[in-house]
Amino acid sequence: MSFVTPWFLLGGLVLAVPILLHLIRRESAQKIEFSTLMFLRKVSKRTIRYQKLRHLLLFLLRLLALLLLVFAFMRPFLNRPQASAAPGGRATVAHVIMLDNSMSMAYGDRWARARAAAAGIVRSAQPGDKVSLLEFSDRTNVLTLPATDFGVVLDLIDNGTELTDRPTRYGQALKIAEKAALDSGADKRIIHLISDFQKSGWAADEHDFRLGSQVELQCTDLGSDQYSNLAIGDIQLVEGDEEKGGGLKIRFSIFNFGTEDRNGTRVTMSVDGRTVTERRVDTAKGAVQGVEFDLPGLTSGLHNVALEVDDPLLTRDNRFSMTLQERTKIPVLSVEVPNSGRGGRAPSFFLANALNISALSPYRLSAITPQQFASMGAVTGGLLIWNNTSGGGAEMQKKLQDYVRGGGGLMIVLADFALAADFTRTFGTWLPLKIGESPANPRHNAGASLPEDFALLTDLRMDHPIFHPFSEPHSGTFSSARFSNHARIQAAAGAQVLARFDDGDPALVAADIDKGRVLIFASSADDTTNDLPVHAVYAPFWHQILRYLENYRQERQWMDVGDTIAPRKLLVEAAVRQGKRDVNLNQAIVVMDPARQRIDVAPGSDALSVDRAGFYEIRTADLNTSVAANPSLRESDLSHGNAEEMAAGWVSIDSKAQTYIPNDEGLTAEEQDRRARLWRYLLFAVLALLIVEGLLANRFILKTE
Amino acid sequence: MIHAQQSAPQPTRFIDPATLSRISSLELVARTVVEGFISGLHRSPHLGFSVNFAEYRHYRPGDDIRKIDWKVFGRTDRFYVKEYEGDTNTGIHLVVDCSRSMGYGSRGVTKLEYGQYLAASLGYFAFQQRDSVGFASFNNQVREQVPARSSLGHLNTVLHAIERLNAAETSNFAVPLAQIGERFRRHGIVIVISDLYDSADQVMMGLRNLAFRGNDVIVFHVLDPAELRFDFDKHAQFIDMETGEKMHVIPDFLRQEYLKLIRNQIADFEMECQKDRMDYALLDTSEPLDKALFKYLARRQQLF
Repeated sequence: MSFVTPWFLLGGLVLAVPILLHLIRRESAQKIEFSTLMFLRKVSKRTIRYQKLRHLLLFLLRLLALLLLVFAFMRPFLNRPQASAAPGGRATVAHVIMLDNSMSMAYGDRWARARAAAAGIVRSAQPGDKVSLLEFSDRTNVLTLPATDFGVVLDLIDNGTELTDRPTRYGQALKIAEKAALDSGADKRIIHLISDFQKSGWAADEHDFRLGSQVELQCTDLGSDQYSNLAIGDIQLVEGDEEKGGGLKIRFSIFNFGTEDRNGTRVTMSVDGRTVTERRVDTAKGAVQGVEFDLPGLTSGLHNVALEVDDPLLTRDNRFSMTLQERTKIPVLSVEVPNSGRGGRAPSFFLANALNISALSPYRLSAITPQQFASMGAVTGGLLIWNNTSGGGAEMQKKLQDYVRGGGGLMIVLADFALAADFTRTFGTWLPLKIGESPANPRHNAGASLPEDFALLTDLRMDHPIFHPFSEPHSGTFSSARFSNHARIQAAAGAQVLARFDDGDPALVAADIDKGRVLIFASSADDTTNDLPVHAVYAPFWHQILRYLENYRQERQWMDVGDTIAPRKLLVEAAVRQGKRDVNLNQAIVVMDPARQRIDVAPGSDALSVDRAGFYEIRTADLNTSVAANPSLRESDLSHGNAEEMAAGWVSIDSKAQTYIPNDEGLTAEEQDRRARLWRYLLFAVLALLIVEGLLANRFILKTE
Repeated sequence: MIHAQQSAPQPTRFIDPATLSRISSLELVARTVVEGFISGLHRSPHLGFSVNFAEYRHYRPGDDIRKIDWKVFGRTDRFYVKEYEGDTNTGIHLVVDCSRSMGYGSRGVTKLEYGQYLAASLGYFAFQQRDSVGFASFNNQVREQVPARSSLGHLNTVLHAIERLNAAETSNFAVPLAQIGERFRRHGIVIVISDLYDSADQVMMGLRNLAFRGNDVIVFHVLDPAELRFDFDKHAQFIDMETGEKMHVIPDFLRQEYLKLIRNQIADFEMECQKDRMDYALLDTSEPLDKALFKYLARRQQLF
């Protein structure tokens, strides 16, 4: 025996009321001094006992009526027998209930109706049937496998299911539901899909999925063709116009996914919980409205920035969260011979333009001469470009070596073979490569115009971080750059060739030296021996080189709900950002989700799924960082699909899908009747008891009088 | 006010016991009752009562028909009227139960107070008839006993003894009544005033002890209206006044049985007394004392 609403058992406390009243009245009974009890004693022997019995009978009847009333409100549910014991040899049925708990189900009263529909299905199951419950979004959670204990399933529906911020994905959930149905061992298998049937819930890669013919699909469609929802997307961080003072801006879009216009909607931006900007926005139905907010100057450190649109209908996607950090510019030193470039320009002319391209650039390039480099102290930070310069003395070489071995990033640019001997003498001892003495292209002299005979870049390692951004089509090409002359690098073990010229010579070689990184480019950084600076890939190429040298990891300003984060790794990165070197990660890590609930990180594991939209706070005793998570914009699109058509696409030709649209109450009249069945009988019993009690009481009283 | 009632014949006949309770002097109470009672008879008590037989004479118009000797009429078929001498020496013994149960009263007058009024009135009445009056009280033992005498001062002694009574202890009828009977020097009329709350056997044993010694016994069974009707309405805890025993009682459920039992008890007493030639009268403390006086008078007449 199970109960749908067992907390009504507390109502049983009312049983104590008549008992307490009885005791209190007994204690507070009037005291009467009477001449003698000799007659009353005789009466008690014969009558009092009978009277007590009658009283007790009435009392018990009233208590029983109250008890049954409480029992009825608890909505008892008889556990069904096992399938093998199905009465009358009837075929057993396995009901697998798929409850959509994706974010879109939070719209209006869909979630309440969905749970009511699920409970109705459970109650309609017959003795011997099995019921299973799954909740799904893009992740499927099997709450209970097919079982005959309907009370447990009902309890799970009420207390074990909850909405998520995740998107809908039907295919995967249907597969799991089908497996649960097939494993049930029942004669008949029905999958009950309770969802709002979002069009976006059907992924393109799942179109080839179909349920087997042994499974029947019944759909409960809670969606509607009339809806309204606003969401935020397309976030961009852009640099403001110099004329207007520059600064950073956040550009984003308000998506009106609904079927009606939304005017005067309040849109706000908050930084660290404080609203800094507000605007009213009109958005036509089905349209996208761009909005731009000036980002206030941020202090150093991580800041939680949230954009929020005021939309009461579906609130879970109203807020777009992200973390922003003011990044200090990294100094890049170019050691070069001044005016040694083509036309007397500085060799870092193009490089400077590429790196100082905007205020958003994290690098600040400055050029010094080899003499200045020799005279300065040890290099402790930033990046270094050895820009087609001779190696200098032993002291300078030691300085370079110490810099690299200490974790520095060094880019060596070799415009031609002229420095080959010097390079081999200087770097050959500690770098796993040498430079060939003979020129790769002896017909060309530096300073002359590019000849017809030129080399091209080929065989790029697109899987390497430097070239990875260029791997996608239309993401930039290096093949059009012409190289008139280049150094001939002979890579040894420990060196990694990242790009080659079409004559097979390495063009870009990487080598890790202790903690540091070294890149050698076998051509110039300007247009002396190649025309790469005039190509679109030049600036991003050098940005990628410098990112690689500084071991830079792009920080994600927000995650999607459902992504996995690594709290320890995030803390290490936060420590690096905060300049803390000795980080003790053996101490307890606390992760607080957006609902301010603590999430335990399993020992030895550094993976955590972000399931809620908002800011996750990760901290130890002396470190903290935060991660923003946002629901998928796809889930905000409440476009309602045709349940019958969608179901027809899922079931096999032999099988059949049934769809019904719930009424306003979310349940059919038949279901409501079934729901009321058992406790209604109990109420009838209560009524009958009270009638009997009334008759007996009247009879006793009349007889007494 | 009392005097005013005495001057008006009818109202004074039925003075309510509750009214009597406001009179502090028991003698005055007795006198009020008796004088009122006698004046209601329209005839002087000194003729016809408590005197020796003198002669018969023929009935004449105007004679009180109560003086007609019906036995003689039965034998001779003629009306004769008895003439008496005004002298007597009959002893009246008043025996009052003063157990704790007699202290019960639901209407302002307890049974003991009612018994005191009754005893005083009967004593006064007897004294008016020149009878000697004695008094005894008992509960589980003999509390006090005053021998019967007819002097005026003795009446005061009796009245004071009656006035001193207070309800205490439990009841016992067999032993105390036997002791009281042993102390009577001559037989006479023994008037027992009690609620008879003891087992019927014990009560009758005690009464018989009095009757067997040649006394004429009149039993006044004094009960409170609440005891006779048991008209309690609320559930209550009843406490036995004599034993202190407690019992939770729902009156509605017990009333019928209780009334049946007490009626049976009264009927039994009445029957047993009749068997033993004792007079029995049930007195309700809410009713005036006339009934008791009539009863006494009737008994007194039978004696002479």
